[in-house]
Amino acid sequence: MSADWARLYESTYADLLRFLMSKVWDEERARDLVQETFVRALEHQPDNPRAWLFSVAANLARDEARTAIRRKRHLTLLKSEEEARASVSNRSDPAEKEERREGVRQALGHLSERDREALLLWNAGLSYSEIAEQTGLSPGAIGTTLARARKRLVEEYDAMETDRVARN
Amino acid sequence: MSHATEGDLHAYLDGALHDLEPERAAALREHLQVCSDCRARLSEEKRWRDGAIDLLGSVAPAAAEPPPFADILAAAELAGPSDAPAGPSAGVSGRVHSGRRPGRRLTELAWAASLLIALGAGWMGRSLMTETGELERLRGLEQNRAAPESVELRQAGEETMARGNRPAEEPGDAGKAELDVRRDQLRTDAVARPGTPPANADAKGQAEAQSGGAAESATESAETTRQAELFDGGAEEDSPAPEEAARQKLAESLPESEAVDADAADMAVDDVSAADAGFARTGLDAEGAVFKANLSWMPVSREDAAHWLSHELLTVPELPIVEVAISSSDGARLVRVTQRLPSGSVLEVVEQAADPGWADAVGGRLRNEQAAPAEPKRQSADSRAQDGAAARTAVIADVREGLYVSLRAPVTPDSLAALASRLRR
Repeated sequence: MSADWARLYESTYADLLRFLMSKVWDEERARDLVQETFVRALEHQPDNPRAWLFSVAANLARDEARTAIRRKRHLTLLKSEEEARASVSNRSDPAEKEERREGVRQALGHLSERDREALLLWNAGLSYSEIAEQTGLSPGAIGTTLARARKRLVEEYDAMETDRVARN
Repeated sequence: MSHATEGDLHAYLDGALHDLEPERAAALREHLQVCSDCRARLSEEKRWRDGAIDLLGSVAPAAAEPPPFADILAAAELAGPSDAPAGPSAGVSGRVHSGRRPGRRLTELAWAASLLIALGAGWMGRSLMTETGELERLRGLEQNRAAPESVELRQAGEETMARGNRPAEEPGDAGKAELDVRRDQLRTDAVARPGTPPANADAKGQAEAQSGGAAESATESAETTRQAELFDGGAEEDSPAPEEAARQKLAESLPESEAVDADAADMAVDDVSAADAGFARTGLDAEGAVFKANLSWMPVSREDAAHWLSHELLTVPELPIVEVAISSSDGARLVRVTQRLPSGSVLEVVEQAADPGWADAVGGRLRNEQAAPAEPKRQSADSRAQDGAAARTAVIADVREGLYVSLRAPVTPDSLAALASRLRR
Protein backbone atom coordinates (compact mmCIF):
# COMPACT_ATOMS: atom_id res chain seq x y z
CA MET A 1 0.00 0.00 0.00
CA SER A 2 2.75 2.42 1.00
CA ALA A 3 4.62 1.68 -2.18
CA ASP A 4 1.56 2.52 -4.26
CA TRP A 5 1.03 5.72 -2.37
CA ALA A 6 4.67 6.58 -2.70
CA ARG A 7 4.44 6.16 -6.47
CA LEU A 8 1.27 8.22 -6.62
CA TYR A 9 2.94 10.86 -4.50
CA GLU A 10 5.92 11.04 -6.82
CA SER A 11 3.81 11.14 -9.97
CA THR A 12 1.17 13.56 -8.75
CA TYR A 13 3.12 15.97 -6.59
CA ALA A 14 4.08 18.36 -9.38
CA ASP A 15 0.56 18.35 -10.85
CA LEU A 16 -1.03 19.07 -7.51
CA LEU A 17 1.51 21.77 -6.79
CA ARG A 18 0.81 23.48 -10.11
CA PHE A 19 -2.91 23.24 -9.48
CA LEU A 20 -2.66 24.65 -5.99
CA MET A 21 -0.16 27.28 -7.02
CA SER A 22 -2.69 28.79 -9.36
CA LYS A 23 -5.22 28.67 -6.56
CA VAL A 24 -3.36 30.19 -3.65
CA TRP A 25 -0.62 32.08 -5.50
CA ASP A 26 1.97 31.38 -2.91
CA GLU A 27 4.47 28.67 -3.65
CA GLU A 28 5.23 27.82 -0.06
CA ARG A 29 1.58 27.65 0.83
CA ALA A 30 0.91 25.55 -2.22
CA ARG A 31 3.60 23.09 -1.16
CA ASP A 32 2.14 22.98 2.33
CA LEU A 33 -1.27 22.23 0.94
CA VAL A 34 0.05 19.48 -1.28
CA GLN A 35 1.50 17.80 1.78
CA GLU A 36 -1.69 18.31 3.70
CA THR A 37 -3.65 16.81 0.85
CA PHE A 38 -1.53 13.69 0.83
CA VAL A 39 -1.69 13.35 4.59
CA ARG A 40 -5.46 13.37 4.35
CA ALA A 41 -5.42 10.89 1.54
CA LEU A 42 -3.34 8.53 3.63
CA GLU A 43 -5.76 8.92 6.47
CA HIS A 44 -8.83 8.28 4.34
CA GLN A 45 -7.43 5.80 1.83
CA PRO A 46 -9.85 6.82 -0.92
CA ASP A 47 -10.80 4.36 -3.65
CA ASN A 48 -9.98 6.78 -6.44
CA PRO A 49 -7.00 8.56 -4.96
CA ARG A 50 -6.06 10.79 -7.88
CA ALA A 51 -9.51 12.31 -8.21
CA TRP A 52 -9.80 12.48 -4.46
CA LEU A 53 -6.52 14.35 -4.20
CA PHE A 54 -7.60 17.09 -6.56
CA SER A 55 -10.98 17.43 -4.89
CA VAL A 56 -9.48 17.82 -1.46
CA ALA A 57 -6.79 20.11 -2.81
CA ALA A 58 -9.48 22.33 -4.29
CA ASN A 59 -11.30 22.40 -0.97
CA LEU A 60 -8.14 23.21 0.90
CA ALA A 61 -7.35 25.99 -1.52
CA ARG A 62 -10.85 27.38 -1.17
CA ASP A 63 -10.53 27.47 2.57
CA GLU A 64 -7.07 28.95 2.23
CA ALA A 65 -8.53 31.69 0.07
CA ARG A 66 -11.01 32.60 2.78
CA THR A 67 -8.16 32.93 5.19
CA ALA A 68 -6.22 34.94 2.66
CA ILE A 69 -8.95 37.54 2.47
CA ARG A 70 -8.16 38.51 6.02
CA ARG A 71 -4.55 39.04 5.05
CA LYS A 72 -5.37 40.93 1.92
CA ARG A 73 -5.35 44.44 3.25
CA HIS A 74 -2.03 44.01 4.94
CA LEU A 75 -0.51 42.33 1.91
CA THR A 76 -1.84 45.02 -0.37
CA LEU A 77 -0.06 47.62 1.67
CA LEU A 78 3.15 45.67 1.54
CA LYS A 79 2.69 45.09 -2.13
CA SER A 80 2.30 48.76 -2.92
CA GLU A 81 5.48 49.46 -1.03
CA GLU A 82 7.30 46.80 -2.96
CA GLU A 83 6.02 48.14 -6.26
CA ALA A 84 7.10 51.64 -5.31
CA ARG A 85 10.58 50.37 -4.63
CA ALA A 86 10.62 48.33 -7.83
CA SER A 87 9.59 51.30 -9.92
CA VAL A 88 12.65 53.27 -8.95
CA SER A 89 15.05 50.46 -9.61
CA ASN A 90 15.80 48.35 -12.59
CA ARG A 91 13.33 45.56 -12.97
CA SER A 92 14.85 42.23 -12.32
CA ASP A 93 13.52 38.99 -13.68
CA PRO A 94 11.90 37.99 -10.41
CA ALA A 95 10.01 41.27 -10.39
CA GLU A 96 8.79 40.74 -13.91
CA LYS A 97 7.77 37.23 -13.08
CA GLU A 98 5.89 38.42 -10.06
CA GLU A 99 4.16 41.05 -12.14
CA ARG A 100 3.15 38.49 -14.70
CA ARG A 101 1.97 36.19 -11.99
CA GLU A 102 -0.21 38.90 -10.56
CA GLY A 103 -1.60 39.61 -14.02
CA VAL A 104 -2.50 35.99 -14.58
CA ARG A 105 -4.04 35.80 -11.16
CA GLN A 106 -6.25 38.78 -11.90
CA ALA A 107 -7.14 37.46 -15.34
CA LEU A 108 -8.16 34.13 -13.87
CA GLY A 109 -10.32 36.03 -11.44
CA HIS A 110 -12.45 37.19 -14.36
CA LEU A 111 -13.36 33.65 -15.30
CA SER A 112 -16.40 31.94 -13.92
CA GLU A 113 -15.58 29.56 -11.12
CA ARG A 114 -16.49 26.53 -13.20
CA ASP A 115 -14.43 27.63 -16.19
CA ARG A 116 -11.48 28.47 -13.98
CA GLU A 117 -11.68 25.14 -12.21
CA ALA A 118 -11.77 23.22 -15.46
CA LEU A 119 -8.85 25.20 -16.85
CA LEU A 120 -6.69 24.74 -13.77
CA LEU A 121 -7.47 21.05 -13.58
CA TRP A 122 -6.53 20.66 -17.23
CA ASN A 123 -3.36 22.62 -16.57
CA ALA A 124 -2.59 20.22 -13.75
CA GLY A 125 -2.68 17.34 -16.17
CA LEU A 126 -6.13 15.90 -15.65
CA SER A 127 -7.91 14.30 -18.57
CA TYR A 128 -11.29 15.43 -19.84
CA SER A 129 -12.88 12.51 -18.03
CA GLU A 130 -11.19 13.41 -14.78
CA ILE A 131 -12.13 17.05 -15.15
CA ALA A 132 -15.69 16.01 -15.81
CA GLU A 133 -15.68 13.92 -12.68
CA GLN A 134 -14.32 16.79 -10.62
CA THR A 135 -16.57 19.50 -11.95
CA GLY A 136 -19.76 17.58 -12.61
CA LEU A 137 -19.72 18.57 -16.27
CA SER A 138 -20.21 16.01 -18.99
CA PRO A 139 -17.03 14.93 -20.78
CA GLY A 140 -18.43 16.32 -24.01
CA ALA A 141 -18.75 19.78 -22.45
CA ILE A 142 -15.16 20.03 -21.26
CA GLY A 143 -13.79 21.12 -24.63
CA THR A 144 -16.31 23.95 -24.86
CA THR A 145 -15.59 24.99 -21.28
CA LEU A 146 -11.86 25.01 -21.88
CA ALA A 147 -12.23 26.92 -25.12
CA ARG A 148 -14.19 29.64 -23.35
CA ALA A 149 -11.83 29.70 -20.36
CA ARG A 150 -8.68 29.93 -22.45
CA LYS A 151 -9.98 32.69 -24.62
CA ARG A 152 -11.20 34.69 -21.65
CA LEU A 153 -7.94 34.26 -19.80
CA VAL A 154 -5.86 35.52 -22.69
CA GLU A 155 -8.22 38.37 -23.48
CA GLU A 156 -8.35 39.58 -19.90
CA TYR A 157 -4.60 39.37 -19.49
CA ASP A 158 -3.97 41.23 -22.74
CA ALA A 159 -6.44 43.92 -21.74
CA MET A 160 -4.72 44.46 -18.42
CA GLU A 161 -1.32 44.56 -20.05
CA THR A 162 -2.56 47.13 -22.52
CA ASP A 163 -3.87 49.29 -19.69
CA ARG A 164 -0.63 49.01 -17.79
CA VAL A 165 1.46 50.01 -20.77
CA ALA A 166 -0.86 52.91 -21.43
CA ARG A 167 -0.53 54.10 -17.82
CA ASN A 168 3.22 53.89 -17.93
CA MET B 1 -21.11 16.54 -40.21
CA SER B 2 -21.66 20.21 -39.62
CA HIS B 3 -18.72 22.43 -38.79
CA ALA B 4 -16.77 21.64 -35.69
CA THR B 5 -17.59 23.53 -32.51
CA GLU B 6 -14.94 25.32 -30.48
CA GLY B 7 -15.21 22.57 -27.95
CA ASP B 8 -14.56 19.94 -30.60
CA LEU B 9 -11.51 21.83 -31.81
CA HIS B 10 -10.07 22.17 -28.32
CA ALA B 11 -10.73 18.51 -27.63
CA TYR B 12 -8.90 17.75 -30.86
CA LEU B 13 -6.00 20.00 -29.87
CA ASP B 14 -5.90 18.47 -26.39
CA GLY B 15 -5.83 14.97 -27.80
CA ALA B 16 -9.05 14.28 -25.97
CA LEU B 17 -11.22 13.04 -28.79
CA HIS B 18 -11.32 9.67 -27.11
CA ASP B 19 -13.37 11.33 -24.39
CA LEU B 20 -16.02 12.21 -26.94
CA GLU B 21 -18.47 9.72 -28.36
CA PRO B 22 -16.55 7.51 -30.85
CA GLU B 23 -18.86 8.34 -33.76
CA ARG B 24 -18.52 12.04 -33.14
CA ALA B 25 -14.74 11.82 -32.83
CA ALA B 26 -14.46 9.89 -36.07
CA ALA B 27 -16.71 12.35 -37.89
CA LEU B 28 -14.68 15.28 -36.59
CA ARG B 29 -11.44 13.79 -37.84
CA GLU B 30 -12.93 13.24 -41.27
CA HIS B 31 -14.42 16.72 -41.33
CA LEU B 32 -11.14 18.42 -40.51
CA GLN B 33 -9.60 16.61 -43.46
CA VAL B 34 -11.97 18.18 -45.88
CA CYS B 35 -13.12 21.49 -44.35
CA SER B 36 -10.68 24.37 -44.83
CA ASP B 37 -12.82 26.72 -42.73
CA CYS B 38 -12.60 24.45 -39.75
CA ARG B 39 -8.87 24.00 -40.25
CA ALA B 40 -8.51 27.77 -40.20
CA ARG B 41 -10.57 27.95 -37.04
CA LEU B 42 -8.42 25.20 -35.62
CA SER B 43 -5.37 27.43 -36.09
CA GLU B 44 -7.20 30.30 -34.44
CA GLU B 45 -8.19 28.17 -31.44
CA LYS B 46 -4.68 26.87 -31.21
CA ARG B 47 -3.44 30.41 -30.65
CA TRP B 48 -5.86 30.88 -27.77
CA ARG B 49 -4.85 27.55 -26.37
CA ASP B 50 -1.14 28.26 -26.69
CA GLY B 51 -1.61 31.70 -25.14
CA ALA B 52 -3.37 30.22 -22.13
CA ILE B 53 -0.73 27.53 -21.76
CA ASP B 54 1.96 30.19 -21.89
CA LEU B 55 0.28 32.31 -19.24
CA LEU B 56 -0.40 29.43 -16.91
CA GLY B 57 3.08 28.07 -17.45
CA SER B 58 4.62 31.39 -16.53
CA VAL B 59 3.14 31.21 -13.07
CA ALA B 60 3.95 27.57 -12.46
CA PRO B 61 6.13 26.90 -9.44
CA ALA B 62 9.74 26.09 -10.01
CA ALA B 63 10.42 22.42 -10.37
CA ALA B 64 11.60 20.96 -7.12
CA GLU B 65 11.91 17.60 -5.51
CA PRO B 66 8.93 16.78 -3.37
CA PRO B 67 9.62 16.28 0.30
CA PRO B 68 10.33 12.68 1.26
CA PHE B 69 7.23 10.56 1.22
CA ALA B 70 8.27 9.21 4.61
CA ASP B 71 7.55 12.63 6.08
CA ILE B 72 4.04 12.52 4.70
CA LEU B 73 3.56 9.00 5.95
CA ALA B 74 4.86 9.88 9.38
CA ALA B 75 2.64 12.93 9.60
CA ALA B 76 -0.36 10.85 8.60
CA GLU B 77 0.50 8.29 11.26
CA LEU B 78 0.79 11.02 13.82
CA ALA B 79 -2.43 12.67 12.78
CA GLY B 80 -4.30 9.39 13.08
CA PRO B 81 -7.80 8.90 11.72
CA SER B 82 -9.19 12.26 10.82
CA ASP B 83 -12.37 13.52 12.40
CA ALA B 84 -13.12 15.33 9.20
CA PRO B 85 -15.64 13.64 6.95
CA ALA B 86 -14.08 11.32 4.47
CA GLY B 87 -14.37 11.79 0.76
CA PRO B 88 -13.87 14.50 -1.76
CA SER B 89 -16.32 16.82 -0.07
CA ALA B 90 -14.21 16.88 3.04
CA GLY B 91 -13.38 20.37 3.98
CA VAL B 92 -10.39 21.68 5.79
CA SER B 93 -9.84 20.04 9.11
CA GLY B 94 -8.90 21.77 12.28
CA ARG B 95 -5.29 21.13 11.57
CA VAL B 96 -5.25 23.69 8.83
CA HIS B 97 -7.39 26.03 10.84
CA SER B 98 -4.96 25.87 13.67
CA GLY B 99 -3.27 29.02 12.50
CA ARG B 100 -0.01 27.23 11.92
CA ARG B 101 1.33 26.43 8.53
CA PRO B 102 0.45 22.83 7.83
CA GLY B 103 3.58 22.03 5.92
CA ARG B 104 5.75 23.56 8.54
CA ARG B 105 3.83 21.65 11.13
CA LEU B 106 4.38 18.49 9.15
CA THR B 107 8.06 19.14 9.02
CA GLU B 108 8.22 19.86 12.70
CA LEU B 109 6.26 16.79 13.58
CA ALA B 110 7.89 14.42 11.16
CA TRP B 111 10.57 13.25 13.50
CA ALA B 112 8.22 13.33 16.43
CA ALA B 113 5.93 11.13 14.43
CA SER B 114 8.82 8.81 13.77
CA LEU B 115 9.29 8.50 17.47
CA LEU B 116 5.62 7.99 18.07
CA ILE B 117 5.48 5.29 15.46
CA ALA B 118 8.45 3.62 17.04
CA LEU B 119 6.79 3.75 20.43
CA GLY B 120 3.52 2.59 18.94
CA ALA B 121 5.25 -0.29 17.26
CA GLY B 122 6.78 -1.27 20.53
CA TRP B 123 3.47 -0.93 22.27
CA MET B 124 1.74 -3.01 19.67
CA GLY B 125 4.56 -5.47 19.46
CA ARG B 126 4.59 -5.83 23.17
CA SER B 127 0.86 -6.34 23.25
CA LEU B 128 1.02 -8.94 20.56
CA MET B 129 3.97 -10.70 22.06
CA THR B 130 2.40 -10.89 25.47
CA GLU B 131 -1.12 -11.50 24.32
CA THR B 132 -1.07 -15.26 24.52
CA GLY B 133 0.61 -15.33 27.88
CA GLU B 134 -1.36 -12.51 29.37
CA LEU B 135 -4.35 -14.45 30.65
CA GLU B 136 -2.10 -17.05 32.11
CA ARG B 137 -0.01 -14.49 33.91
CA LEU B 138 -3.04 -12.65 35.11
CA ARG B 139 -4.48 -15.89 36.36
CA GLY B 140 -1.32 -16.42 38.33
CA LEU B 141 -1.77 -12.99 39.80
CA GLU B 142 -5.32 -13.71 40.76
CA GLN B 143 -4.42 -16.95 42.45
CA ASN B 144 -2.37 -14.93 44.90
CA ARG B 145 -5.28 -12.68 45.73
CA ALA B 146 -8.27 -13.18 47.94
CA ALA B 147 -11.74 -13.27 46.43
CA PRO B 148 -12.92 -9.93 47.94
CA GLU B 149 -10.01 -8.29 46.24
CA SER B 150 -11.38 -9.51 42.98
CA VAL B 151 -14.58 -7.65 43.66
CA GLU B 152 -12.58 -4.55 44.44
CA LEU B 153 -10.66 -5.02 41.27
CA ARG B 154 -13.83 -5.29 39.30
CA GLN B 155 -15.23 -2.18 40.89
CA ALA B 156 -12.03 -0.35 40.26
CA GLY B 157 -12.11 -1.53 36.72
CA GLU B 158 -15.65 -0.36 36.25
CA GLU B 159 -14.78 3.02 37.70
CA THR B 160 -11.83 3.18 35.46
CA MET B 161 -13.92 2.33 32.46
CA ALA B 162 -16.50 4.88 33.50
CA ARG B 163 -13.81 7.51 33.55
CA GLY B 164 -12.72 6.41 30.15
CA ASN B 165 -9.12 6.94 31.01
CA ARG B 166 -6.56 6.37 28.36
CA PRO B 167 -3.04 5.13 28.72
CA ALA B 168 -0.68 7.93 29.55
CA GLU B 169 1.27 7.05 26.48
CA GLU B 170 -0.90 6.56 23.47
CA PRO B 171 0.05 3.68 21.24
CA GLY B 172 0.30 3.99 17.49
CA ASP B 173 -2.81 3.83 15.36
CA ALA B 174 -2.65 0.14 14.69
CA GLY B 175 -1.96 -0.65 18.28
CA LYS B 176 -4.64 1.76 19.40
CA ALA B 177 -7.18 0.18 17.11
CA GLU B 178 -6.34 -3.20 18.49
CA LEU B 179 -6.59 -1.90 22.00
CA ASP B 180 -9.91 -0.27 21.28
CA VAL B 181 -11.29 -3.56 20.05
CA ARG B 182 -9.96 -5.43 23.00
CA ARG B 183 -11.12 -2.77 25.42
CA ASP B 184 -14.61 -2.89 24.01
CA GLN B 185 -14.61 -6.65 24.22
CA LEU B 186 -13.42 -6.58 27.78
CA ARG B 187 -16.00 -4.03 28.76
CA THR B 188 -18.71 -6.16 27.26
CA ASP B 189 -17.45 -9.20 29.08
CA ALA B 190 -17.09 -7.31 32.33
CA VAL B 191 -20.72 -6.28 32.20
CA ALA B 192 -21.99 -9.69 31.17
CA ARG B 193 -19.84 -11.85 33.34
CA PRO B 194 -20.65 -11.35 37.02
CA GLY B 195 -22.32 -14.58 38.04
CA THR B 196 -22.84 -15.65 34.48
CA PRO B 197 -20.76 -17.39 31.88
CA PRO B 198 -18.83 -15.09 29.61
CA ALA B 199 -20.77 -13.86 26.66
CA ASN B 200 -17.81 -14.15 24.37
CA ALA B 201 -17.33 -17.81 23.67
CA ASP B 202 -13.92 -17.27 22.15
CA ALA B 203 -12.67 -15.39 25.14
CA LYS B 204 -14.01 -18.03 27.42
CA GLY B 205 -12.46 -20.73 25.35
CA GLN B 206 -9.17 -18.97 25.46
CA ALA B 207 -9.38 -18.58 29.21
CA GLU B 208 -10.30 -22.19 29.66
CA ALA B 209 -7.60 -23.36 27.37
CA GLN B 210 -5.03 -21.44 29.32
CA SER B 211 -6.34 -22.40 32.74
CA GLY B 212 -7.08 -26.02 32.07
CA GLY B 213 -10.79 -25.39 31.88
CA ALA B 214 -11.25 -24.80 35.60
CA ALA B 215 -11.95 -21.10 35.58
CA GLU B 216 -14.51 -19.72 37.96
CA SER B 217 -16.68 -16.85 36.92
CA ALA B 218 -15.51 -14.62 39.79
CA THR B 219 -11.93 -15.12 38.81
CA GLU B 220 -12.77 -14.49 35.22
CA SER B 221 -14.47 -11.26 36.17
CA ALA B 222 -11.44 -10.20 38.08
CA GLU B 223 -9.26 -11.11 35.17
CA THR B 224 -11.45 -9.24 32.83
CA THR B 225 -11.51 -6.13 34.91
CA ARG B 226 -7.83 -6.46 35.52
CA GLN B 227 -7.27 -6.50 31.81
CA ALA B 228 -9.62 -3.60 31.40
CA GLU B 229 -7.57 -1.69 33.90
CA LEU B 230 -4.44 -2.53 32.04
CA PHE B 231 -5.78 -1.42 28.74
CA ASP B 232 -7.48 1.62 30.15
CA GLY B 233 -4.36 2.41 32.04
CA GLY B 234 -6.27 4.30 34.67
CA ALA B 235 -6.20 1.92 37.60
CA GLU B 236 -3.73 2.60 40.34
CA GLU B 237 -1.12 -0.01 40.90
CA ASP B 238 -0.89 -1.77 44.20
CA SER B 239 1.16 -0.05 46.82
CA PRO B 240 4.82 -0.76 46.36
CA ALA B 241 6.02 -3.63 48.43
CA PRO B 242 8.68 -2.91 51.02
CA GLU B 243 12.05 -2.75 49.41
CA GLU B 244 13.36 -5.92 50.95
CA ALA B 245 10.33 -7.92 49.95
CA ALA B 246 10.49 -6.44 46.52
CA ARG B 247 14.16 -7.26 46.28
CA GLN B 248 13.44 -10.84 47.24
CA LYS B 249 10.58 -11.06 44.83
CA LEU B 250 12.75 -9.61 42.15
CA ALA B 251 15.49 -12.09 42.92
CA GLU B 252 12.96 -14.87 42.63
CA SER B 253 11.38 -13.61 39.50
CA LEU B 254 14.24 -12.09 37.61
CA PRO B 255 15.56 -14.23 34.85
CA GLU B 256 18.41 -16.55 35.42
CA SER B 257 20.79 -16.39 32.57
CA GLU B 258 20.01 -19.97 31.64
CA ALA B 259 16.25 -19.85 32.02
CA VAL B 260 15.20 -16.36 31.20
CA ASP B 261 12.02 -17.07 29.32
CA ALA B 262 10.09 -18.89 32.03
CA ASP B 263 11.01 -16.40 34.70
CA ALA B 264 10.36 -13.46 32.48
CA ALA B 265 6.69 -14.36 32.31
CA ASP B 266 6.41 -14.35 36.10
CA MET B 267 8.34 -11.15 36.28
CA ALA B 268 5.97 -9.47 33.92
CA VAL B 269 2.89 -10.23 36.00
CA ASP B 270 3.24 -7.29 38.30
CA ASP B 271 4.71 -5.03 35.73
CA VAL B 272 2.36 -5.12 32.83
CA SER B 273 0.58 -1.97 33.88
CA ALA B 274 3.70 -0.08 34.73
CA ALA B 275 5.35 -1.10 31.52
CA ASP B 276 2.30 -0.28 29.47
CA ALA B 277 1.81 3.06 31.11
CA GLY B 278 5.33 4.26 31.24
CA PHE B 279 7.91 2.49 29.22
CA ALA B 280 7.32 1.15 25.79
CA ARG B 281 9.65 -1.20 24.07
CA THR B 282 10.31 0.13 20.65
CA GLY B 283 11.50 -3.15 19.23
CA LEU B 284 13.73 -1.30 16.83
CA ASP B 285 17.44 -1.52 16.40
CA ALA B 286 18.61 2.05 16.13
CA GLU B 287 18.39 2.58 19.87
CA GLY B 288 21.21 0.16 20.42
CA ALA B 289 23.58 2.62 18.79
CA VAL B 290 24.56 4.11 22.11
CA PHE B 291 25.91 0.73 23.18
CA LYS B 292 27.70 0.18 19.92
CA ALA B 293 29.32 3.59 19.95
CA ASN B 294 32.89 3.68 21.10
CA LEU B 295 32.35 5.99 24.04
CA SER B 296 34.74 6.70 26.86
CA TRP B 297 33.08 6.40 30.22
CA MET B 298 34.34 8.02 33.39
CA PRO B 299 33.11 6.59 36.72
CA VAL B 300 31.65 9.27 38.98
CA SER B 301 29.38 9.47 41.98
CA ARG B 302 25.67 9.21 41.51
CA GLU B 303 25.28 12.83 42.59
CA ASP B 304 27.84 14.03 40.09
CA ALA B 305 26.18 12.05 37.35
CA ALA B 306 22.82 13.55 38.22
CA HIS B 307 24.39 16.98 38.07
CA TRP B 308 25.99 16.12 34.72
CA LEU B 309 22.61 15.07 33.38
CA SER B 310 20.67 17.83 35.16
CA HIS B 311 18.28 15.08 36.18
CA GLU B 312 17.90 12.46 38.85
CA LEU B 313 19.09 9.13 37.51
CA LEU B 314 16.81 6.33 36.45
CA THR B 315 17.60 3.11 38.29
CA VAL B 316 15.89 -0.08 39.32
CA PRO B 317 15.73 0.56 43.09
CA GLU B 318 15.86 -3.10 44.03
CA LEU B 319 19.14 -3.73 42.25
CA PRO B 320 22.56 -2.81 43.63
CA ILE B 321 24.44 -0.23 41.62
CA VAL B 322 27.76 -1.44 40.35
CA GLU B 323 28.91 1.74 38.68
CA VAL B 324 27.77 5.16 37.58
CA ALA B 325 29.69 6.70 34.72
CA ILE B 326 29.40 9.70 32.46
CA SER B 327 30.38 10.37 28.88
CA SER B 328 29.64 12.76 26.07
CA SER B 329 29.03 12.43 22.36
CA ASP B 330 28.62 15.25 19.90
CA GLY B 331 27.83 17.63 22.70
CA ALA B 332 25.22 15.36 24.25
CA ARG B 333 25.77 14.35 27.85
CA LEU B 334 25.34 10.71 28.71
CA VAL B 335 25.10 8.84 31.97
CA ARG B 336 25.37 5.10 32.35
CA VAL B 337 24.20 3.25 35.43
CA THR B 338 25.28 -0.35 35.73
CA GLN B 339 23.28 -2.52 38.11
CA ARG B 340 23.79 -6.12 39.10
CA LEU B 341 21.06 -8.63 38.37
CA PRO B 342 20.43 -11.59 40.68
CA SER B 343 21.98 -13.84 38.09
CA GLY B 344 25.24 -11.96 38.43
CA SER B 345 25.02 -10.30 35.03
CA VAL B 346 24.46 -6.57 34.75
CA LEU B 347 21.82 -4.19 33.53
CA GLU B 348 23.04 -1.03 31.83
CA VAL B 349 20.85 2.04 31.77
CA VAL B 350 22.08 4.88 29.60
CA GLU B 351 20.37 8.24 29.69
CA GLN B 352 21.12 10.86 27.11
CA ALA B 353 19.71 14.23 26.28
CA ALA B 354 17.97 13.72 22.94
CA ASP B 355 20.01 15.56 20.37
CA PRO B 356 19.34 16.39 16.71
CA GLY B 357 21.68 13.69 15.52
CA TRP B 358 19.69 11.08 17.33
CA ALA B 359 16.43 12.49 15.97
CA ASP B 360 17.82 12.27 12.47
CA ALA B 361 18.91 8.72 13.07
CA VAL B 362 15.43 7.73 14.10
CA GLY B 363 13.92 9.55 11.15
CA GLY B 364 16.35 7.92 8.79
CA ARG B 365 15.61 4.53 10.21
CA LEU B 366 11.92 5.12 9.81
CA ARG B 367 12.38 6.02 6.18
CA ASN B 368 14.44 2.93 5.60
CA GLU B 369 11.82 0.77 7.19
CA GLN B 370 9.08 2.29 5.16
CA ALA B 371 11.06 1.48 2.05
CA ALA B 372 11.12 -2.13 3.17
CA PRO B 373 8.32 -4.23 1.73
CA ALA B 374 6.46 -5.85 4.58
CA GLU B 375 5.61 -5.39 8.24
CA PRO B 376 8.79 -3.69 9.30
CA LYS B 377 7.69 -2.97 12.84
CA ARG B 378 6.52 -6.44 13.70
CA GLN B 379 9.41 -8.01 11.93
CA SER B 380 11.81 -5.84 13.73
CA ALA B 381 10.32 -6.70 17.09
CA ASP B 382 10.29 -10.39 16.33
CA SER B 383 13.77 -10.43 14.97
CA ARG B 384 14.86 -8.46 17.98
CA ALA B 385 13.41 -11.11 20.20
CA GLN B 386 15.12 -13.83 18.24
CA ASP B 387 18.38 -11.98 18.07
CA GLY B 388 18.20 -11.10 21.70
CA ALA B 389 17.56 -14.67 22.69
CA ALA B 390 20.37 -15.86 20.49
CA ALA B 391 22.82 -13.36 21.83
CA ARG B 392 21.21 -13.30 25.29
CA THR B 393 21.31 -9.54 25.12
CA ALA B 394 18.31 -7.32 24.69
CA VAL B 395 18.23 -3.62 24.05
CA ILE B 396 15.25 -1.37 24.41
CA ALA B 397 14.82 2.35 24.50
CA ASP B 398 12.37 5.06 25.26
CA VAL B 399 12.19 8.75 25.93
CA ARG B 400 11.36 9.92 29.40
CA GLU B 401 11.11 13.52 30.39
CA GLY B 402 13.02 14.58 27.35
CA LEU B 403 15.85 12.13 27.94
CA TYR B 404 16.68 9.28 25.65
CA VAL B 405 16.94 6.15 27.77
CA SER B 406 18.47 2.88 26.61
CA LEU B 407 18.65 -0.40 28.48
CA ARG B 408 20.78 -3.40 27.80
CA ALA B 409 21.01 -6.66 29.67
CA PRO B 410 21.72 -10.31 28.83
CA VAL B 411 18.07 -11.25 29.17
CA THR B 412 15.13 -11.67 26.85
CA PRO B 413 13.27 -8.60 25.58
CA ASP B 414 10.32 -9.47 27.83
CA SER B 415 12.56 -9.59 30.86
CA LEU B 416 14.18 -6.33 29.92
CA ALA B 417 10.77 -4.74 29.48
CA ALA B 418 9.89 -5.91 32.96
CA LEU B 419 13.07 -4.35 34.28
CA ALA B 420 12.32 -1.16 32.42
CA SER B 421 8.97 -0.94 34.13
CA ARG B 422 10.76 -0.84 37.46
CA LEU B 423 12.93 2.13 36.61
CA ARG B 424 12.46 5.04 38.99
CA ARG B 425 14.15 8.34 39.58
